[in-house]
Amino acid sequence: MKIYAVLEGRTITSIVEEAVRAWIAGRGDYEDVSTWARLEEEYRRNVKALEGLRGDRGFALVCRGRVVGVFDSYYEAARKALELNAGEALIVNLSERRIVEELELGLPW
Amino acid sequence: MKVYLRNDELNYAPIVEAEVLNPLRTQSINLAFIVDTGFQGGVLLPLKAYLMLQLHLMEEGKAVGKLASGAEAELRVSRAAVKLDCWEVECKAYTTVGVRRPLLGREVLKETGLLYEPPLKLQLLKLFTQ
Repeated sequence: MKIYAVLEGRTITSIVEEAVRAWIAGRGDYEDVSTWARLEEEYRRNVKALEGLRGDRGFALVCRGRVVGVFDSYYEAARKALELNAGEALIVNLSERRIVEELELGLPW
Repeated sequence: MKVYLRNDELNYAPIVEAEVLNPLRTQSINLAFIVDTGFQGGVLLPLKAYLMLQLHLMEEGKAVGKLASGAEAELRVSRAAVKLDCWEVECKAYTTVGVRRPLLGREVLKETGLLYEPPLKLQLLKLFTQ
């Protein structure tokens, strides 16, 4: 941080202030943040429930911290998820088991 | 659906007004998407729109989005369909905190084709060839 401050002819304080401003700007409104936090809590419970699941075929539906079942298609699992109407639901293709992907997002929105 | 260029200080931003639906087609919402060729995914939605479509009940996990600035953003991932005139493109839908403008990315554009010829023309090519 010191090196960048010197290169840009700025003080450390001004850089910290800029970082805090950017962080606040990226938070969105309070309602969004609290919704996100609620979804995150459910998501973490659901990912944990998935850890113990065996098998490599079908689509597992996980909600309320437990595996509801394994379905033949994503759409069948989605229909069941709507019926249950939990706080968050995860549908995982067991043949891939990849729940985190990477992608290019372009410019900040 | 409407496809047009918007030029109020936006240098002919390519806009697609389209209906986006959840994968089961039980909920839909009309949004004005900015076409973003820097976005690899299908659609990036504001969190409220994502919830309105009930996509939080059909999530497929998370994604780490890499911004052009080098920063990273954590995204929720689900599926959606974008209705363009009489046909639909199925794609992935993403959201995160702080999304203000819905984006239409390359996963949809690779299906539709795009002619961006400002200041006169913006066209989703396959809509006119099928």
